[in-house]
Parts: sequence; structure tokens; C-alpha cells
Amino acid sequence: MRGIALTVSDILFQEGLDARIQLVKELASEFPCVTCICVRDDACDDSMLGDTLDRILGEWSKDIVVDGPYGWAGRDMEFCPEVAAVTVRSMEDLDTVVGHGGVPMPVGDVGFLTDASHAVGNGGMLCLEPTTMKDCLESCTVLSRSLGPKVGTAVRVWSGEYSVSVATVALVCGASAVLFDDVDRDGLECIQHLLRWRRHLV
Amino acid sequence: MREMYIGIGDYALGGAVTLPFLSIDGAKRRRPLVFGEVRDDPVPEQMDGTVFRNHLGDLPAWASVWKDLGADGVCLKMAPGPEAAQTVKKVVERTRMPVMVCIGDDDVATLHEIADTVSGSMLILGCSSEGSYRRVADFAGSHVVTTVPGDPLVGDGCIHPDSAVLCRYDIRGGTEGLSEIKGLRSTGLSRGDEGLPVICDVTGAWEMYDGDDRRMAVLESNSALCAMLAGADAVVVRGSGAADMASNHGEELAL
Repeated sequence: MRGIALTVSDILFQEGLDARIQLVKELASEFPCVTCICVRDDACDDSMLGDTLDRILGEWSKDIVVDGPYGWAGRDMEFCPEVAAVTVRSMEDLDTVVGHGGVPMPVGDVGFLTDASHAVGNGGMLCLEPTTMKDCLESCTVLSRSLGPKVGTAVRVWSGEYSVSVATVALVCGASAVLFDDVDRDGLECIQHLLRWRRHLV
Repeated sequence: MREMYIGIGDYALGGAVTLPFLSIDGAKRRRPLVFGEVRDDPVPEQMDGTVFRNHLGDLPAWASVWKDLGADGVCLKMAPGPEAAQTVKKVVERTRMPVMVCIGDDDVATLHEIADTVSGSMLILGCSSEGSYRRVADFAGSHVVTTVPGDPLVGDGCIHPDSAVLCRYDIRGGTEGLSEIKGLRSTGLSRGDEGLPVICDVTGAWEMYDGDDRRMAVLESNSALCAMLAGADAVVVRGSGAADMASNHGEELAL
């Protein structure tokens, strides 16, 4: 996964869900850096997540990320996302997730990153969940120093102007992807500029 | 890296000991300086929605607005001419802020007159070519002189003790466009006291202006953020919104 993912929650009602999908589609056609849609498993309910995925699969041709507290492991669904994001808080959790191939993983603790990145290994991707620009800068730096380009880094951010600043920090520090809860056109224009020179997006 | 005092001596430029903002490496808790642009040939439609709109023909008054807004300094961009030196002097006396001066075509005679006229404040004399840097360095005295990133003197030792490097960047350059500033910081760190501070002008972002002031603030402030993350010790901005955001971003990252 490379580029930007915009989030859709599985607890949205039908009208809200349709409107949100349409908006993400519009933004994706306007800004090629939007390469993914991220489905957030807020309901923690397989049937609601499945319904949401069905709606999206009918209309969305790019990559899909599923982001939730349980990852993809153990789910009984035909669909399998390109990436399953899982919240990981401990090395025990990490072992479980890596065992199921469930990466990337949002990690908030800088001290945890080096161990985590070794556990993910080549080809994996760590997803950071920084709350501040400083946290983002130092987390990405620790990761790139300990692993170089072997493990990709994704950063999940919320919405609003500050999230664009955090995403800017992430991309300047070499992150491959940003998962936005929400972002407006002005913010996406900035991100598009930052990513435009990466050949895979041109 | 080399540290130098500017203005009346109450601001320091440079002095970095690590890559930008990395507290884990022992970075100084000092944010990059933010300079507000003041120019004698503003594009009126760009200024219509700004707090500067009533002061466009009066550069000292425009500079004072920057001071009221909390900028660290001003960057005067003017055409060459005999009145330039008096204008700079007025701005210095009225604001007592650090002042950077860029004269059209790097007119050396005008810069010479400015350097001789202004005393009591260490100016930054902006030169945008190696040739003008060498000529201005001869008479700069206690003022700081800028050169350009490609100048071989940046790596081989400078001919003026208070020198800096002047870059330009805006977000259209993407992350790869930052490699020049990143390189200057990395090289500068390896050279210790010989490493020169970097000043980055991000006002080029205004070429994307389409009448939407908020969009412009986002584009320019993120351009400034990128420059600071890459290693700029000071940024030059045009919009007050971008100055405010750049200052806040720098403050937060430097904590």
C-alpha cells in the first residue's frame, strides 16, 4: 500500500455511508494520491463490517484497508483486504498479529518500535498512530534508523488542519502511507504535492 | 553548526547540533525563525484579504504590522535605488527586529549603501548568486551575507565569518525537493562551526494563489513546515496565517 487512505466507518447508516463513499470516490478521482479506502471496524460486528464492505466493493476499484481492534485473523469472510490494520499494544499482541500476517499495526510507543519492526520483518509495514507532530517525527526516525527501507511505515491521523501537518511530517520523514480519518481538499492538495514525485503515483 | 547574532543581537541564527527537532539526539529547544515578507512591488490582489492591505506603499508601516503579529523578523524585497538604504534604516529603527534585505538583481551598489547606512543592527544581506556573495562579503562588516546552495565556498570555508545559505522551496517540489536543504544540514553538522545556517524562502507557494486565502495559508504553512523539517534555520513567508502556523509548528516541534 502506498499513498493516502480515507476512512469510512461501518457504523454509518445507509445514506451516510453512500454519501461518504461517493465523497471518497470524488476525492480519489481528483487526487491520485488517494489510493485506498479504509474501512474502520467501529461496530466490532462481522455482519455490519460485511455489509459495509459489500457496499464498497460494488463501487470501489482501488485498494481497501480494514482497520479495527481485532485485525483480520479469524474472520469468516470471503473478502480479504489488501491490508488489515490492527491495534497492537504489547509484544504478545504483536506475536499474535504477525503470526496471522496481519500488518500494519498502529503503535503509539516509541520505545516499542524497534522490537516491533524486527518482528514484522522484510516486506511488512508498521502503522504508527502519533498524537503530535513531534511524536510522529521521532517515531518515524527511530524506525528508519533501525530498519532502513526494509519495513514500510504508515501513519494514521485524525481529521482537521493539524492532521495535515502530522501527515506532512510523516511524508517528509519517509512514511509510505497515511490513513486519514478525514481531510478536506486543501489538505489533500498539500499531500498530493508531497507525493507527486514518487514515481508510483505519477 | 555556526551560530550568529542578528538584529540588535537578541536573535541567534543557526547553531544546530543535531538533525532538526530530534530531542532524542539532544536537539536545542529552539524553533526556526519566521521572517515576514515586505516588498515594494506587491501583487495587490494577493494582499486584498490580508492585514497588510492598508500599508502596501509604506514599507516601515508594513514591517510594523509584522512585529505586531509576532514575527521574528522581516525580509525586505526592494528594487535597487538611492532610497533603499533610508527605507531599511527606517524599518530597523521603527521595529528593532532582525531585517533581511534582498535587492533586485543583487545590486551591489545598493547593498553597499545599505550596509554602510545601517549601524546598530546586524542585517542579513541577501545574495542570490555566488558572484554577488563574494562582492558583498567584502564590505559586509558585521552584517550576515547569504550565498546559494551550489556555491563551492559552502563546503570549503567562507570568506565572511557571518555567512548563511539562502534556499527557495515550496510544496510543489514535493519531498524530493527538500534534498538540498537536508544535504546542507547534514553537511553542515559534519563541519561543526564551519557549517552554515540555512534560510529558506517559501513565498514561491503564492504562485498557486487563486483567490482562496485559506488554501494559500495551508499551502504556504506546509511549505514552511517542510523546510523546517528538512533543516531550515529560518523561513521567509508572505501570509500572516502561514507565519502564525509556521511559528506554532516550529514551537511544538522544538519542545
